Amino acid sequence: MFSFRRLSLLPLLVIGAAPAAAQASKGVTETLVSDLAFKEPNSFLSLPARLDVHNVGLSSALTMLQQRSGAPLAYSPSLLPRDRQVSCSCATVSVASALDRILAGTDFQYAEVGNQIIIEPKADEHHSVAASPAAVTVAMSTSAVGNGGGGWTVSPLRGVRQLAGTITGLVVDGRTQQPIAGAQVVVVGTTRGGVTNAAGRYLIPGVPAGTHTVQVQMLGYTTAEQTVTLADGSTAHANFELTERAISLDAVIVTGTAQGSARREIGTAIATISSAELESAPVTSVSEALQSRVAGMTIMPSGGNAGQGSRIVLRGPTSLTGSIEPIIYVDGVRIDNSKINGIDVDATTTGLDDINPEDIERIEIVKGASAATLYGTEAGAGVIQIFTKQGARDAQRWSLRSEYGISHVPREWWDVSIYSDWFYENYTRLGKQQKHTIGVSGSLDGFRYNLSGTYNNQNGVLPNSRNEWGSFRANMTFAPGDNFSLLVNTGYTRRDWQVPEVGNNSNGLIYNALRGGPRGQNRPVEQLSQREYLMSSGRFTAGLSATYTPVHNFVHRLTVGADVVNQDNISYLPFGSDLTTADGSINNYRRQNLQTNLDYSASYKTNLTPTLTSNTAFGIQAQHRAHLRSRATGSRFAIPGMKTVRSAANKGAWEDREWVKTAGVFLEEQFGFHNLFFLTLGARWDGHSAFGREAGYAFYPKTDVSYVVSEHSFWPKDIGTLRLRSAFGMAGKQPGAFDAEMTWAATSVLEGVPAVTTGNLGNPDLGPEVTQEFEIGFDAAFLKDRIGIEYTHYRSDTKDALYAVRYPASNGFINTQLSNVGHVRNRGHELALTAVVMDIPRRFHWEARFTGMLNSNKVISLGGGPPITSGGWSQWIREGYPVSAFFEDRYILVNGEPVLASEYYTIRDEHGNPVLDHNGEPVRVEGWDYIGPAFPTRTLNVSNKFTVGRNLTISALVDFKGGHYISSSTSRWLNYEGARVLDGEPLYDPNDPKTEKFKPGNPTGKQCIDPKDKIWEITCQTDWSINRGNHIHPADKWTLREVSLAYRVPRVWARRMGASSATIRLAGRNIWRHQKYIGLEAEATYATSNARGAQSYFDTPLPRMFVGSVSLTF
Amino acid sequence: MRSEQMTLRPWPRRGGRSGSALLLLAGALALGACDLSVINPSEIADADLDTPTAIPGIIAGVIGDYGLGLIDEGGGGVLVAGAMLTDEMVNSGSWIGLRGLSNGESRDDWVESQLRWALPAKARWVANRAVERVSALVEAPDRNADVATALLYSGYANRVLGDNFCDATRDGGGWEPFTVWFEEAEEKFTEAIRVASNALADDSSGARIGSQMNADAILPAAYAGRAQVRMMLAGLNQDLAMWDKAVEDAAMVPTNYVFNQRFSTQGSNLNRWYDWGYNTPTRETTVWGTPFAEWGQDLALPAAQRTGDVRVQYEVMTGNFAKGRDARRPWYRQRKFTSQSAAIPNARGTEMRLIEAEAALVRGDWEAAVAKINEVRAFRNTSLTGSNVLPMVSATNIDEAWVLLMKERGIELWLEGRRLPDLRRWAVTPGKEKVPFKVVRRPSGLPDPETDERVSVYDVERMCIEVSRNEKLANPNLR
Repeated sequence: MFSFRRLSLLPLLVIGAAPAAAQASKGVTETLVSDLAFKEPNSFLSLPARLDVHNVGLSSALTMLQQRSGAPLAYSPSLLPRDRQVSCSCATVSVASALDRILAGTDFQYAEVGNQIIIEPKADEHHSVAASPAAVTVAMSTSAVGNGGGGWTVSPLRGVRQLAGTITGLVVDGRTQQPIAGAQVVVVGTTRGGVTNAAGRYLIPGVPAGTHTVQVQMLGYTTAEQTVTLADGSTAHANFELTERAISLDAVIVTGTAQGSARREIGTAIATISSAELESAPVTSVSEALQSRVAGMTIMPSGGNAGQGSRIVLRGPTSLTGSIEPIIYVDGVRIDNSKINGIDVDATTTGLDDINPEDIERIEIVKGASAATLYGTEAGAGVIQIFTKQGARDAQRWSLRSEYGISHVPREWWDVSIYSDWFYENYTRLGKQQKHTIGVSGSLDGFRYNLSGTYNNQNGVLPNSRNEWGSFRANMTFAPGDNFSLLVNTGYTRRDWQVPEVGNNSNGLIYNALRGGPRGQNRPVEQLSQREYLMSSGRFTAGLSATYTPVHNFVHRLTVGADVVNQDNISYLPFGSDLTTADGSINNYRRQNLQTNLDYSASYKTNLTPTLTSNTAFGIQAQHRAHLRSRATGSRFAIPGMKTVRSAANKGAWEDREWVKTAGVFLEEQFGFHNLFFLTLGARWDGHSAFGREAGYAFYPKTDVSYVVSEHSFWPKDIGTLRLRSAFGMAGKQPGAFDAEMTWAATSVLEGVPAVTTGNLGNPDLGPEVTQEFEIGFDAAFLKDRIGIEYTHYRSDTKDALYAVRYPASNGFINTQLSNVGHVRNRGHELALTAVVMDIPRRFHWEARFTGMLNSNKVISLGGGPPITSGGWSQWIREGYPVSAFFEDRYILVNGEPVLASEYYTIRDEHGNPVLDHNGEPVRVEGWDYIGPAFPTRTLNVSNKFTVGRNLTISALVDFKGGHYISSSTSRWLNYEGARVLDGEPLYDPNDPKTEKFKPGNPTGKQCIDPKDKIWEITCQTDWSINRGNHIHPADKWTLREVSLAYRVPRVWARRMGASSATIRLAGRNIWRHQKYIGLEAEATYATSNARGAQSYFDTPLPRMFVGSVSLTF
Repeated sequence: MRSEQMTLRPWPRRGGRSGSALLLLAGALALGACDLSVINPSEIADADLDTPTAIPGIIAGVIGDYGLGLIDEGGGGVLVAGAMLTDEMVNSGSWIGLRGLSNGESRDDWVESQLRWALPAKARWVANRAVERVSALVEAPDRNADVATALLYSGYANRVLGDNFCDATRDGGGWEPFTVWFEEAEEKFTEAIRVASNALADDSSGARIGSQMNADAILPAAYAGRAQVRMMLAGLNQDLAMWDKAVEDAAMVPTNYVFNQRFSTQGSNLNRWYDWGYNTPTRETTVWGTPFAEWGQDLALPAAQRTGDVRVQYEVMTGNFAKGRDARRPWYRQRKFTSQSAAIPNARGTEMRLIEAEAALVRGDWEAAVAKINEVRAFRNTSLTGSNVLPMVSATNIDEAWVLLMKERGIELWLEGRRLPDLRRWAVTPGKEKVPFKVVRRPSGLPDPETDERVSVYDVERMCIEVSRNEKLANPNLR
């Protein structure tokens, strides 16, 4: 995949204060001068332009030139003529040549000043540009800002006539408080102006005395104004916090082609999370970073122990049997996201979390098939693309961040059993974490680099919960020639992870403690921490991406990537420590996954007519996966201290190896009309190892349209921005490697005699399941960008869904066989709304963001196949219901009295006898046992950000997931007839009334101590084998997910520490929750590896976490 | 078997749209000699078995699948399930399927019910498929020991299905009475005897030598198996002629003969009685509450204090394991199978004597029946000493003799999967009312050792195990 590097505009404006100004404002001048950096003359102008545009607006052309060449351009978009269409086949020429062509025939000129290229209107009187890097002052002369007729002048310092005063200030991003470089600052009604430097500062000398309006403009941000009053010889300060535009139509999105596309050109909704959002969020992993930020994305954690992974679902489950998680690319390298531990503990990490959040520049979420077509087979559930930070173009910069935190599960979150308090006091602890990151970024003669290293150590809230990892990332960019560039991205993460006995485990700590108190349910709790689950992993990801433009208009890109994961997991029971196997045991599972991918793509752009552009892209992609696994087991150590399989008396081994390949080609044609209307047609063809021999190759077509209505001439300028978009596309999901073949399995019987047994029935027609998706929506901004709306309605259908058809066991094959017979449907709405609720410049700024999703998921057809269980207890795939929905008998209230649903809904004859089917089973009303879906049907995320003054930012994020159910084994084991305190309870003292609840025979579950209704009364008096459905509960949950307070230390103070900037953050996560769920944690479903499981089994609640951090840059 | 690797699939051969051919070609060329075959040396294609060198693995697989069908991990297989439904063991744990059986119900939709049906059904299919496949691979299938072995295990797989399941459905077909299992078993055993006999008679070749069993070992196993199924057909159908045939077969099997199903920790064939009735974490089944607790020996007692029949051994547990997983019922763990590699007899010579005894009872000759029972005891005593020596038994009438026989079969064949067919058969002759055994049943709720009353062993919905829901849903002929 193409790794598009988002450019950081870090130009350093070379500013020298006028002598008068320097005298008047020495401090300011000194500060600015200290920021100066010098580059060789024309160094940016000589960069390769890599630009190929046809009949696009002048502003768009400049934007693309800036993005593709890396040259920092400073200009005022509002001054550019809106109706000017330009073309430039400038892929192989320099930036200077490209600018010559683009600006030819216009009233604009350019010059490289300091560390940026200034584009300015040609002035009648002051047509002079500083060509020297020597100190200059950038000043501006304009007659009417924004009307296109004004003129700019960038004058050398010596040419500036010193007038009454100086205006200076800082321009920062209002949300991140980071300086904005390259912003245009003008004094309205005068000829004066300037451009911010890398530190976000500007200086405008020679401003006449009086009251002025200072206006700041920057691409991607809304225009800001302030009024200042200036006396003769004085200096006025005007700082600006710019608000990002609600809609950024020119941001480049990676779509699978060589160069990506501007957002305006594509018809799908692709979400982006920026590094700025991640930096301010209290997250320890990428999974946490993704949570509650994107409409249509659902993150489902597996538990609250340190490092436990999550599952991700985009726009609902699209598959009945295959993975429903998106595939993941990091800088164009496909990474393994398997959730396998191999040592029989219900906890895994997530491959996504091997990426350090602080290394991420941005994340793009391709939500559905309509946008994922070019990614082909395996992308049917969406794509997550992570782009890591690349080297800065300016001087070397060091960054340091240290973070310390604590985590804690409040007492009341454990309150499900009479033993909860005892457990809380004896077995929970205050989790601690620390994380330290150091990085350096810079450039040297065409070579840019970004290096970072991180160490993280986290202890969870339970014994034996630990997550320690370190990572190192080195990203390098070479540009040895005008037509060739090379990106090398590498990352390594080493993790040591430990979890207590959790999940569906009879030796589980929480299970035993909350069910049986000190004596445990299965064994004394004090014995339960003897087994250790130690999981170590190393991941090395490397990608090399070369871009070559040999001839005009024809860009080639080749990416070669590899992702290597090595796991070494151990389940260890020491000698003599356990009553089960007194001599101890060990299980060592090792797994190596080597995944390589090779992507080649090319694009050719041309003008078909003066108003019609064409962009043709094609490419080839190949992937190879080598998956090697082995297990060695041993039991019965001779003496204490033994800790290897070698030292065990009984030994066993298992090993498996598999190599799977996939390859595909794609073709895409994009037409552009007047840079306003875009039509894209494309297709991909794939072959895959897993396809049946009769299945042929997979074909995935796509088309999308985008129409920027608001840039049409008829659109009133003041109304705002509106873009309409729609897309249709297909993407696939492959079956398992051998699902198409009839296979037998090797086994061993009779004391080691080799044998074969039936394996897979086989299906030569087996192909990928193809999800087709149609989406339609719009992006809009109103009220001067104070309100932005993105709305999408999607309709996806997987009509040949892989369904595990069960054939009669009496025919010999007991495993299910995949067949392309299913039909799964998702319908939904996504809405993202941003609003600037209040803005009092320099005092108070309040931004609110709302994202929500409604999704309806349904199994339309199973192709005549019978229902199958899927996901866990009581979860079924049945026609007419959501994927893996819950079905179970339970007590319901009928006329105020509890009645079993199976009885109530039984159809009876005139004598009251049940009507029986041909199997002798009672016939019941259709859907009598349906309880609800296993996946959220609605989500809501509300974030608010308050900026107080210049430096203090407070933000909060509340989210909601709901409409779904979870089977709570916590409820089931604690609240039924048999869950009673046993005789001889050690916590019970007949003489102590405080211990009355521990009296033998009392219920152990909180629900049964004082049943709240008749359903619970009878539930507590019966066995869960009868009313299991009463332990499947709604999982709706509100969470105050994040609260953070960031204080940007004044620059002067930072400098006293030797830093150029410093930020202090205090943040909390999972601060508050509200759930009606009967169990410990409504979000946790222990079986991470079970894609559709919605089963909770004494899972650890997601802990409340507080962190404090300091970030410094040097 | 495949020696190194299998290459299952090259680049897709046919496409759906002609217009894409050029692009595909370009892609294929660009990718060079890209071969999309998947490789996994562990997988075996069906065609890989069509070679004589695969026969040992095929026959071993037949035996292994049969063992899995008896007592796989998933809910304990039919042996554990049958023990729960009858009075051999009582549930003391939490698994719904086992608890339900212990309480007298058998449901087809329990998770445990699915494999419990599927594995023996698969074992039968695999054995029958092996008969076909091996017959096609050898020169003289009608005198080949491997063919005879497959036939033998087909017979036993059919016998197990008939012993345990309420109904029959074969090879995806419709419903049949469960006795068709016995009929097919009789047919397979007969064929096994014929082929093994031919092999033994053919001295000129090595046909008598099988990859897993030789022909001379097959014959008594086949006679014993046929005696078992003929006994079932005779008892269920009250067919005296069939009783005669059963006795004829039984007579071919010496008293000291045992045809074991072997298990091993070196693979997936494990004797799961170890897990379900012996190993401490599971504690799902207990001898407590069964007649066998009264008849057998408590090994927790000093040897001098032990009483009861040495053929039923258990251990009254104390301390942390005094109770089962339900934390209620006392845990008496069985001590008959104390390792995962312990063999389980498929048939015994002693059972043949008891078949002869039952046949005598059916004809009213209770004195002969008692004599046969004592013949079994005398044989057992040849290896017993001291207080373990089994006393000879006596009866004064046919009813007493029936009780003696029923008790003797229960003790002699304890936990070997014979109790369920016995109770199905005895429900017909001598009749449920004459079967005296009591067991703990509790239709709902947690078992309570203080209040759980003993009821007739026939206090069940059906004295058999239901065919799985999966089979019913997947088999169009059953819908």
